[in-house]
Amino acid sequence: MQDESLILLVDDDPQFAAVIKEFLEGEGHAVAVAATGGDGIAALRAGGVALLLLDLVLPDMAGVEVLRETLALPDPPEAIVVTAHGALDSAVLAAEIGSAGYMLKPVDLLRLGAAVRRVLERRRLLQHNARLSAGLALLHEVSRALHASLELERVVPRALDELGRAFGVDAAVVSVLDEQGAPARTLGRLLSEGHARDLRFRATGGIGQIVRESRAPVVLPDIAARPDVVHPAHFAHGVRSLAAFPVRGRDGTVLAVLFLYYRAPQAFPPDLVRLLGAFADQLAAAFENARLYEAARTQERRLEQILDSTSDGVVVLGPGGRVIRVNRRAGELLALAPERVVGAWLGDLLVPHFPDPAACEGAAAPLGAALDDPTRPTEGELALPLAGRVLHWTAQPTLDPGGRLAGFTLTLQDVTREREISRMKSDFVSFVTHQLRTPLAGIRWMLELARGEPDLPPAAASYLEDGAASTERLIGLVNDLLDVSRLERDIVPVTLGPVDLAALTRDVLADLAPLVAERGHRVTVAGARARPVARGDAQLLRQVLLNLLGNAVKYTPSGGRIRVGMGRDGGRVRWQVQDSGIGIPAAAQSRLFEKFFRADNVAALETEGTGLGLYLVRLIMDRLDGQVWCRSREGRGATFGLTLPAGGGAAP
Amino acid sequence: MSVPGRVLLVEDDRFLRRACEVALRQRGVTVVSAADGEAALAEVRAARPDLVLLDLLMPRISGLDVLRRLRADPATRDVRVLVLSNSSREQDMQEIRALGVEGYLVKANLSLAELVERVGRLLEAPAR
Repeated sequence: MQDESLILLVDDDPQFAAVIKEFLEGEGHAVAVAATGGDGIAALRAGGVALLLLDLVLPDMAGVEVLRETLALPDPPEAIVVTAHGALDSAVLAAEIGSAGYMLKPVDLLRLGAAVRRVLERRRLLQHNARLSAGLALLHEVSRALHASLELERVVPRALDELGRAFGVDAAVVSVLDEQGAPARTLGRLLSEGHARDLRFRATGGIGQIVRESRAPVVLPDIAARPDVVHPAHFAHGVRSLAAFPVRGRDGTVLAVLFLYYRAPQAFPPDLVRLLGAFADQLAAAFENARLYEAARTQERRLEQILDSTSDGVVVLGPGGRVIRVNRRAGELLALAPERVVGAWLGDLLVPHFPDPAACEGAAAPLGAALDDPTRPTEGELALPLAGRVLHWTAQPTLDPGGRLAGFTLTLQDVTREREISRMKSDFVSFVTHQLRTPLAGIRWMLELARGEPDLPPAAASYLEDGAASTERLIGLVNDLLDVSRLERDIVPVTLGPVDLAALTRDVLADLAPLVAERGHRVTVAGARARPVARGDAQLLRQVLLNLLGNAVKYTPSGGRIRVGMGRDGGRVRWQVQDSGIGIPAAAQSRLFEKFFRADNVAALETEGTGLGLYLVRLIMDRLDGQVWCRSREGRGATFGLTLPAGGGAAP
Repeated sequence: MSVPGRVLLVEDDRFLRRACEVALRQRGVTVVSAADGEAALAEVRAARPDLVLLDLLMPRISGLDVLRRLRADPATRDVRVLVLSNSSREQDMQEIRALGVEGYLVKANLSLAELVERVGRLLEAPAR
């Protein structure tokens, strides 16, 4: 900051002028003299005049003209009128035009000296304040710029240039420190190429170290006073004064040092130092933000890599269903570009996959419901008809640290192939049921018609009979396969209700009566009077009883005993059938309920089993929340038992 | 026992058609056959049967479609239908029950004797 203190004395009295000039120079001021108004104006226009001492009466023009002239200047000096003519109107005029003072000749030098000092001081203060205001405005602008951009490399050098311009700094640089406090890089421009070439910021031994350790500014109005810490390059390249400010992080550590270099010695008034300190603090905040931003960016990049490497589609949604991000796989599954859909509504993104919006709404309704209910994770399937794709989705709600819903994470898997296979299987089952059953019915009925014809040769009659029996077996096998297939895939409609086990047993035994009579077995039923009622599906339980009772009949040699028992134990009912048949080898018992399993000892007695009967029983019992068990000793019969939830009350 | 009555048999498989026709005619039932849905609907309109034995899985128009159309037309709304099929898809069964039928039988699990007996009972019972 240059101190303009040139005083211009415009007076045509050379003796007066000499006295004043000598006096004021003795006071430490710089003084120039002009003898005419014209010379005075020329000198004013040349610039640098801080104070005008003006005589009102001049040879070439009135003094007030010179005064008026000063007002036209960009930075008008103060003016003190010193005149011999003490007319009131000239005093008023001078005051109106804006002089700072009015003195009568002969002049009291002490008074003049005091007035000059006063006026110059006020001028300096005004200029200083103006500069501070400009500096504050600049600081505000710069901090906005710093915070608007997180790329310090770009913004800081510009900010330093602005700083330099506003405060008359010849060069401003920021020396950024690393974690150990050593200078890592420099932002900003130095005084000259030579300056930049010769200057090396040092971790120790220089001003940087002082600032770093003291965490306070260092101000050197004249660097010659501290050759011990000032770098030689400054002396070599014209630096006369410098100031260094710490750029402090939030925990107080010095992240960088701001250096200001001046070619002329400076005074560093305290408010200027404070202002520059404030600038350094803004830099600190910007550095912190940039570091956090960089850390966040790295995390973000890492997250992106993780998300893109997973084979599931991931869609991160905000609380209302707005897309926050989509990973690459989700983009593939939903046929959209991940970068382009941020901010869109998930619902809107699904519409293109459907023939019309209503179809989309219907299909996506479960997903919409899941996004409305954040209490638990949900899943479901969504078929995209136009893409020919079926997606399995899971929606996991995300809570913020305060426990509020922050959004959802949706994972997507392509299950088109699985559903395709499942559908093919189900189509296959349909195929089996229709295509196989129709000709089977044809054979059965034709054989039936044939057997009904009169006068059949006995041999033919017996062949037809065997044919019919064989057909029955085949039909039974197809039925079993269909039942097993449907139970395995859990597509059997199950109607739960009270089932009277005693009545059901009676029904099934009635169906088996011909076979029982043929084998000559004796069948007893115990516990029926208690009429235990189970909770289950009547049709499925009928199947179970039919299988177990049928087995008992089949695997017992003629003239055997079959005992059925049942009862209720608290919340469960039990049922069992005990036979006196061939029993089950120990090795086979653990595998009895497996699909297609037949124990070794059955072939002798009954070659027609499929290995599905007990498997079916197990599937049904699982479905009805019941258990089935078996106890047996080979050659000593077998007992098969069931437990089921009780159905409560007597069956209707 | 001879059971008077007129039955329309709707069945696309010729063996099953033949077996049913023979068995029913042995009982004195008048049987008219149709091999597909269109023929069946025409036949119903031409001469109203006492009972329709309806197969479900047929080419072109399914038995379910035939049933829907019968029920939709006031002239044929109350024709009695006994469904004979080999599949047991729950969705179809629900709709069929809602449309109103005398029964739903799986052919492969049914003997001719049982079928004839069932038809006889239905023909003897007065229409609702």
